[in-house]
Amino acid sequence: MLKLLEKSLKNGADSAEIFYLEKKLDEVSFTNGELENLSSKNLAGFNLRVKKDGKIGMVSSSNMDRHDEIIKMALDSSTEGDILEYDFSKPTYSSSLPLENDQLWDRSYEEYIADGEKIVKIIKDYDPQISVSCGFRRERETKNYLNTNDCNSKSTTDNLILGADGQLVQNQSILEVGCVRQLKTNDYSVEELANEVIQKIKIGRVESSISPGKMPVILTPNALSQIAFAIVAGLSGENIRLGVSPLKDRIGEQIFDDKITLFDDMTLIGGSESSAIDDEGTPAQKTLLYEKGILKNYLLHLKSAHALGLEPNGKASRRFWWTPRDYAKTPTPWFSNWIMEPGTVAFEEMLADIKEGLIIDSMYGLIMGNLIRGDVDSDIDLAFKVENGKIVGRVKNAAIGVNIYEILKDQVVALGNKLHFASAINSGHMLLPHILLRDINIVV
Amino acid sequence: MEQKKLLTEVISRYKDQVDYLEIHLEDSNMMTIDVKKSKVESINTDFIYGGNVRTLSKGGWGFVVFKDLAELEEAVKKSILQAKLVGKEKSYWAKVEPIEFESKITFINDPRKVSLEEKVKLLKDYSSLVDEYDERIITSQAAYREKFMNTIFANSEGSYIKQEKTDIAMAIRVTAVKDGNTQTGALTKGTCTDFNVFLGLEDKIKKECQLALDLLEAPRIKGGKYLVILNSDLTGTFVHEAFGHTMEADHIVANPSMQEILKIGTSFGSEILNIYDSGIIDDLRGSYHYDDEGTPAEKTVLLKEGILVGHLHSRETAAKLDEKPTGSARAISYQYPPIPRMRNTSIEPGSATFEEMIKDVELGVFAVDSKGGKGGENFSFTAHHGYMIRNGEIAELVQGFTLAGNLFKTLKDIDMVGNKEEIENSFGGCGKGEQFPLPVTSGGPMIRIQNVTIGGE
Repeated sequence: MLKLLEKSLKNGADSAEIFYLEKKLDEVSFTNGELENLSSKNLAGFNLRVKKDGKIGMVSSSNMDRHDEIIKMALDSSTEGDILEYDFSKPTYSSSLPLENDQLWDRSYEEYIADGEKIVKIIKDYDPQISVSCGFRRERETKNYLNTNDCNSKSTTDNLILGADGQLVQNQSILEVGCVRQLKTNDYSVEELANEVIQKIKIGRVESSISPGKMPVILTPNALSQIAFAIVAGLSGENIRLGVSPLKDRIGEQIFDDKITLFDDMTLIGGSESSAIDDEGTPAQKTLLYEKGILKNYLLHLKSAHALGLEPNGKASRRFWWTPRDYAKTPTPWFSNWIMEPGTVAFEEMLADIKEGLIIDSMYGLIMGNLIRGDVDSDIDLAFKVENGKIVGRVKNAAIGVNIYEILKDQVVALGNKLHFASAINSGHMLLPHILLRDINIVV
Repeated sequence: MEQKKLLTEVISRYKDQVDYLEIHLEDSNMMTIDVKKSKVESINTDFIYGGNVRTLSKGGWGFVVFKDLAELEEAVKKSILQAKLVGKEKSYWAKVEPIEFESKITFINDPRKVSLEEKVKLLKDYSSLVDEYDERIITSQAAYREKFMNTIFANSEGSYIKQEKTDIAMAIRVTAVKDGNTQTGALTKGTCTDFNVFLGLEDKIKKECQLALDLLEAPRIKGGKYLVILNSDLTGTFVHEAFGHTMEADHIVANPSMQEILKIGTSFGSEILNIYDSGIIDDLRGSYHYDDEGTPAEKTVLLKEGILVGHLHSRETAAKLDEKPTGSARAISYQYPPIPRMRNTSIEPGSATFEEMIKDVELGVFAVDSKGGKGGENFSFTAHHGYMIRNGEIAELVQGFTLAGNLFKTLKDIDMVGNKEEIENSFGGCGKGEQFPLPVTSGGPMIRIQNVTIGGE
């Protein structure tokens, strides 16, 4: 990679940088109770950016050999490229975070297969009619950021993701529930995961109904993680720079209820998105986004930070929504690990206060609505009716249409006192509480 | 020739250890140009090179992705080891005649002959047209993407298929803001062979600008149940998101209860409803000669006069359901195994004119253009905008809204099918799990549906 940088300078670039990404992963997956496949991937590629006459040229490649062609293409594209007003230079950075864990790779396929079989058995023992899918995925990602100012930062992260789904079809209607875990070790409990699926099916298989109208609603951490995409869209430095976010020029203002404090923390121990550097080589940071509902910071990468006259805070990402990190993607601001500070109320206490209301656990179509404006319009996938403090059954065919800047400002009654891992569509890592909202309009 | 020799040799050395073995190689170039507010944001070229080995043994799959041909033999060994660990019973694998085949694309205006400078100028011109339209328009985006793919497929049955494929698309996006209300407009175009489709779009772009501005003043629709007429684009979204994904046979095979619900011969709608998915319509982004398992592409009829007559299959799902493979096994790149996917999905035209569809409607909604959605039995997708229908006539413009419903109920609620079918190449692609974006198209005639749930105020 260093040779490629040197060659770029020799061929006429004023400066150059490389983002190199290497990925190794193993997957074991079960479908409909049967071991379906084993797979492994070994991938690598890089993105080269050159600066020439103040303009930027860019090429990506998973082919490590065609140096001359790659440099020529980068320099050619720089003639039409964007004017680069900021510099690549950054210090070399390394982290003392425990990101790697070789032990994760000691476990054999056979051991994961045996654990998968256990999950299937526990759930099938409860009800053989349930179609069970589950899987294990261990992943090692190595990022290497280098530039012609002698910067050479490297970060390797290991993760294990395991999940289980149960699908039950009754009377032409499908109940589907799922649970996910993310770890840095093989220290998980298959019993706990399987029982969580069973618990959700137990409640969900009883059907209930609800009259449309305004009612108290509890969003589970999973549902909140789906709504969080609207929060991301508002905070994105790109959307601020382009002037499309309603949060432009509003740092210091009370945006949400004062119970809401939210961090983005790429240095979180155990976080799946934790890393030494972001996807542009900026050192990882913990950033306060909302403090007691007051907007404190945006999600910034180099370009948006420069345009807004702010310091970059290490939020450059080469992943987009649910797609995996890709060396070829242009970096944009995105979240890493999100942590919302817990409240004081236990989930059971939240329930106890509800005469008639709804717990929303997941929604369909989470990219619905005008997200930048904060609109979340969605059909509800999994929701449970609450009556006199008790969960009575699953509610189908309900929908909500809300704006996060309204509901998270005026409707927040309480935040749960425990944080749970949530990862809507496998996009990043969130630790969130349950949240009780006062009056939400439910369409049935 | 060297490559063919290598693949054939490796396959013949290992094929007896498993029931089936296939190798994919990909050598592609992709370029994207992004322009925002008349300025180039990024030009990115990506050289994509790699391959995979997939093996089947006693019903179990192994799948190994490699980044260099030098790793091929190791990948084959690892894949065989995996398949043997998984496989315990019998392999299901529908028969397809082995074929040696090579395809080249005939271009009308090859985008590679248009210089980067010309492409950038075109995007900048379109972008500034938007920027200068009105001061309430705060952002313009113009994006262009071209992908030239060369794929090689070789399997243990003797097939060797070399295909050239392209996927070329452009999108112009408009964002207008007033008092915290953000509205958008978008024009998308796509092709496989002809850069000319991107020329002369000025008038259409201006229309999108005006629409975004009009939407700033438009009311939000009141949530509830409505009679809805979908335009071709939204019909396409419905038929793709709600119906098409449900017909992808991997989900059906995985769930015995779904096999019962989606049994061939079951009635799902009235006899005016005919739905198909085709891989053989010229110059549509979802078309190709052979799928990624060496099965020839075809037009697959899914619903005929309201009766379910087909599913979308890979060779494995076809064998498991004792049906014929449909050439629907596709992977977005060498990094993923092929799975049943859609190609170009549409509804056959019916007989109703637009006037006939609205004339007896007291209160309804004409929903126009899609902003994406999520499929399955309970689907949900967003209309970019709409018009109220009042007393048999088109009335006021309304802001975008979410349409949601149950697939099986909605199919039965379709009471009129328009007489003009439209399928357009657009910019985006279909996502299934991690495999996004896959080039597909969808469309159809306008359709009228009773009792659709619309989210709103």
